[in-house]
Amino acid sequence: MKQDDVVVFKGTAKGLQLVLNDKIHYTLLLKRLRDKLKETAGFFRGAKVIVHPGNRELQPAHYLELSDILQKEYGLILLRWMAKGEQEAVKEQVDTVVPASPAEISRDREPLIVTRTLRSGQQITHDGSILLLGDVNHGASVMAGGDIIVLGVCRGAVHAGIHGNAKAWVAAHRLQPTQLRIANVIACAPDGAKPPVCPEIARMRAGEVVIEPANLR
Amino acid sequence: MSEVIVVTSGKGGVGKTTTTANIGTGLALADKKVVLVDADIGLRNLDVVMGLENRIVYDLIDVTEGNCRLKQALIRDKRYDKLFLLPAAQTRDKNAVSPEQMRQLCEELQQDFDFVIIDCPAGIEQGFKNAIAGADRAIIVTTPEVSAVRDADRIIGLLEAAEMHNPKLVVNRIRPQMVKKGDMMDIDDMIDILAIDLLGVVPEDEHIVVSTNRGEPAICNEQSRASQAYRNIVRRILGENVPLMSLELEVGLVDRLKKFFGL
Ligand SMILES: Nc1ncnc2c1ncn2[C@@H]1O[C@H](COP(=O)(O)OP(=O)(O)OP(=O)(O)O)[C@@H](O)[C@H]1O
Ligand SMILES: [Mg+2]
Repeated sequence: MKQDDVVVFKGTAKGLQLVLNDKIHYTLLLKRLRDKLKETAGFFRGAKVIVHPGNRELQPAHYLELSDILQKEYGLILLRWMAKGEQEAVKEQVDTVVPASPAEISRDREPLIVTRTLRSGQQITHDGSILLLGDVNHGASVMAGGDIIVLGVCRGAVHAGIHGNAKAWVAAHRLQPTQLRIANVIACAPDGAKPPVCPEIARMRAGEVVIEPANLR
Repeated sequence: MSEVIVVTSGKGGVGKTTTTANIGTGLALADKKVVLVDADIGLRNLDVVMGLENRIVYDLIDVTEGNCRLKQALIRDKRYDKLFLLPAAQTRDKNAVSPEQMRQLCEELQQDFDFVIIDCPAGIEQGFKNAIAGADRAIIVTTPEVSAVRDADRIIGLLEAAEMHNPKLVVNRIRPQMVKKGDMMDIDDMIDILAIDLLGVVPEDEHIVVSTNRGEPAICNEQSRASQAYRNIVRRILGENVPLMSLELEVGLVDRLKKFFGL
């Protein structure tokens, strides 16, 4: 089994979800969880998470131990444990990697608010919209089912409407991404482009990505 | 109060070893007891830059593997009584030591020294993880090049993930003339992207090359511009509030202040 499959973070309509593999030995699971969090700890610090333990029978002590690792050691906020009945429903949703048709994406999904700068090599994916208070540096990427707002300088790669919603948009205080995607349309920064001087918004118009000043009109 | 500082960069060849040697020597000049740890296992350089190559008997791996005691592997500097070097092993690789062993080693060194300065290898793999394992603080070295700054940004993200916050930036090899002409990134641009505190700016300086080859850190030579820059950096590490020197002001920081005060 690939190490990556054991502990998986997923951004879903219901928020950040942590899926724990229920086949491997419990002590190994703990190790993999710590490894994963160590790699990404700063990233998920402060994030609210729903934990999905699969079909594993967890003892009360296990619940405590897992919650201590998440909350005390790595500063996540554990919202709740997922119940058995719920698992199926959400599982389906998590597995829908195939882009849903735009109509299926409701615009009122909980937005994700991120209050940090994304540095090179860091990535955020979320089914709803993303509001990021900070910069998106070169080599970082932000992917949202909905819209993306960056209250800072957006230099990395951004993809709004990852499930195919062509009405999704990207706005930034300074919008200068290396690459910008809306639904399936890719726009690259033109070589030698001048840095923007005002907040801008990128939208799809007649099948093309158009960037214009973000007026509050 | 003892501190463990790792000098790191991501990109290779930007001046980590040079910075380690000069900061370490400067701290010893300020009467601190200092040990420099070469964590670049398999590609050791620090011993050469310090001119101590021929005195190596034991190395870091000998210590972690228990072939000798820590004290036996420490080499005292030729010039300064309070300065020591723990050399890297040249015949081994980065996997010969673990982060846990490095943590223990740093803890042990902290008992005896005011400053433990770790020279980190380039890259983000095992060698990097080892080098940062026992450190409390980090100094990020970059040159005014886009690729070096991008790598520095990646490193800062990885340090954050390892719960090491507020690293300080040293910009090395800056050429004021080029910055003025707009041919080189200025400090402002770099700080805008990296959003961390500036510890100092070191100019491009031939003395560095000469002193590296001689095995005598440039900070010893008061004639050199780089020496002055390193002296300032050392004073800032020691908590002094040293204003930026004229060179540092030439390269784009004036603009920054202007923006700040809305002039
Ligand atoms: N300010 C400077 N002016 C001129 N030359 C410099 C300066 N700083 C470093 N150099 C030269 O650049 C080269 C690389 O420096 P150094 O070995 O310190 O980099 P490093 O980051 O430790 O490299 P590595 O990643 O290989 O460990 C050396 O030859 C050094 O003499
Ligand atoms: Mg080096």
